Amino acid sequence: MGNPNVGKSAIFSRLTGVNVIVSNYPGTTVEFKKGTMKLGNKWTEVIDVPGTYTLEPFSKAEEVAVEMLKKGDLVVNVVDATNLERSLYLALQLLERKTPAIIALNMWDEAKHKGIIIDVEKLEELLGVPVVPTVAITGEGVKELVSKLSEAMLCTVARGKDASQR
Amino acid sequence: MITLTELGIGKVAIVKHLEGGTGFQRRMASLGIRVEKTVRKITSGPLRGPIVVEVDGARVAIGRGMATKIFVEVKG
Amino acid sequence: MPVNDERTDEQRWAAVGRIVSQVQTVTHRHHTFLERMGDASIKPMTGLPIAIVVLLLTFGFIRFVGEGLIGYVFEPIFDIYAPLVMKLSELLGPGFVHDVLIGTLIEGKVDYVQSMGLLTTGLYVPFAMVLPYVFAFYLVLGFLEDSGYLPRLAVLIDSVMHRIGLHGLAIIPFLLGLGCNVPGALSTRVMETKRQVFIAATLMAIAVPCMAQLAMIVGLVGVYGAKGLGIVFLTLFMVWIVLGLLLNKILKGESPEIFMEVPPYRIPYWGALLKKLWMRIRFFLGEAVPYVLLGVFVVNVLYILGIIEFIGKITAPIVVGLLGLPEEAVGALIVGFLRKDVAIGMLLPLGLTMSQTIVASVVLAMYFPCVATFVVLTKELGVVDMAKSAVIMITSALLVGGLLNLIL
Repeated sequence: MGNPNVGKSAIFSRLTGVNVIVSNYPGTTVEFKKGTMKLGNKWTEVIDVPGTYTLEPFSKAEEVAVEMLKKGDLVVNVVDATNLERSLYLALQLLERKTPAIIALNMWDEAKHKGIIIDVEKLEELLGVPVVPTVAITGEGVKELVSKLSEAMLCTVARGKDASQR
Repeated sequence: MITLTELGIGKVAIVKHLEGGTGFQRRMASLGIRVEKTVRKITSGPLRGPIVVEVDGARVAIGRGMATKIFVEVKG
Repeated sequence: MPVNDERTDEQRWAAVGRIVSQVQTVTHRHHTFLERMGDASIKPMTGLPIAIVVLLLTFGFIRFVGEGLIGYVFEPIFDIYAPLVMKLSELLGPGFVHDVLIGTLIEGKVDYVQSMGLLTTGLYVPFAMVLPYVFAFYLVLGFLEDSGYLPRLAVLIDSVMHRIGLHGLAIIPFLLGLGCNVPGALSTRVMETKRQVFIAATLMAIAVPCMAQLAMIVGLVGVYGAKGLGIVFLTLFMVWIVLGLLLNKILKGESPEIFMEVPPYRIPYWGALLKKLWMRIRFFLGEAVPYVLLGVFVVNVLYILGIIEFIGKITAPIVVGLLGLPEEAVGALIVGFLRKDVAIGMLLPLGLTMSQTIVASVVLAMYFPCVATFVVLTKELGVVDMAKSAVIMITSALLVGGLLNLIL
């Protein structure tokens, strides 16, 4: 899950090896795509969904994403490191749900070019879920994301502090 | 206060008021158009086209009708 | 106790603000070249000229690469292939198998476009005539998509789109439809309201010919020079505008405005671009070629069983009367349900004049989408809306066809 045009499909094809259309405009993915990946020793199903800014969908494509969320055991929330503020709104909404989550802080390279520095540990601490910087296009950070996936599955809803104090 | 359409190109302003229901407010908020946010007007599209503003370093295109419901105060 | 209870928007945004302030620091931001280019291409004064240059470059590139591939790669291959086919033809001798595999010989020789055999036209049309243009188009489209130019184009033409009940982002279904109407039909889903989806889908199915069809029209009408092609494209463009205006007036309900992020320009990552190109070519080879072969086979069977003459008689008043085409042209209309490119190829043996070819090409482009698009459209629009759309398609095709027949 994540905002449009933040690299969800790119991360999806990195995780599953399934080729999906990746473009630089919001609304590329309009249909959910299924793929599989090996997690530990189990084959798990991965689903790529259209982008959405909130959990209240505006278009049909966004409805697909919200529907899929209900079926998910773990949500990989792809966040645009160059626009953290906008991505966090959806992240917080996702955290309000009970599904375990992990955050892929994507376009990490572009954020650096733009002079944006993000304290990953602090973010992890505040949100209470693993946060992994990634560059989906080149594949950087994806291995670490995979290793943290199994970890995220275990820590179910131990979110600690109530959100309003954050 | 003036509307986004009246704001001069290249001018920086602070969003003061959004004229519309929660749906409109929520949709605007999703791309960073919220009260007290700083916006810079990049351009407006040809033939009464959309208004393009920069907010939080990102560029957002807003339909002219919506832009008339966004009230801003020119900064400094 | 639920850790994160439902909070109101303000609280959520406040929480976001607090987190961002503790986590993110932004050092100086110098405007990169890409950013300046990005703004230049969206401001009307500089953006419109850039858009014209981009469109000209796109068409120039597609024609250059398309014709280059045909001339230097595929034509030579099929020239080497020709004697083999002739040997096979002699081996088989006349009969049903020969007609199906090789098709009819024109003056004793195999004519790749007119013979209508599985091993002749069935291979030549998709590979030597259509694939080069599909390849060139998807290479350019991939570049436009990955660079981030499309949202800027969407802003520039937003007000035009408004007059036909859509908004700037509708450029995506139309552009994708130019490649193939199937992804084009799927992408109409990005429009917010059902009304917009209907208008975008109908306009795309009617006025946006797929690249396969375009390649054949270029092959067939191009022979008469640029004037013929100009008329075909101008007509389709006019239909796109006029029909859009009409639909926007007739269908009640207003159309929401554009509200979208304009992503920063990015240098396309070659790996991703080529991977996407290969995926789309594989889709073309996997999906389209079988249909072409089926279309060619159906044509043979229809001709052999004489069904085409039979249907030709019934539809004569329309085909001959209104459109001024010979009766056999109905064969093309029938096959047009399966594959548009094969249908246009079928016009060649009819020895049509330039104006007849133009009328036929336009009608074939408009009257109905190919079956693959029809299936996707029915799923997207629902049966009722699809029926409405189909009525619009057929009536507008006959209307425009008849009009063209009178003028030319």
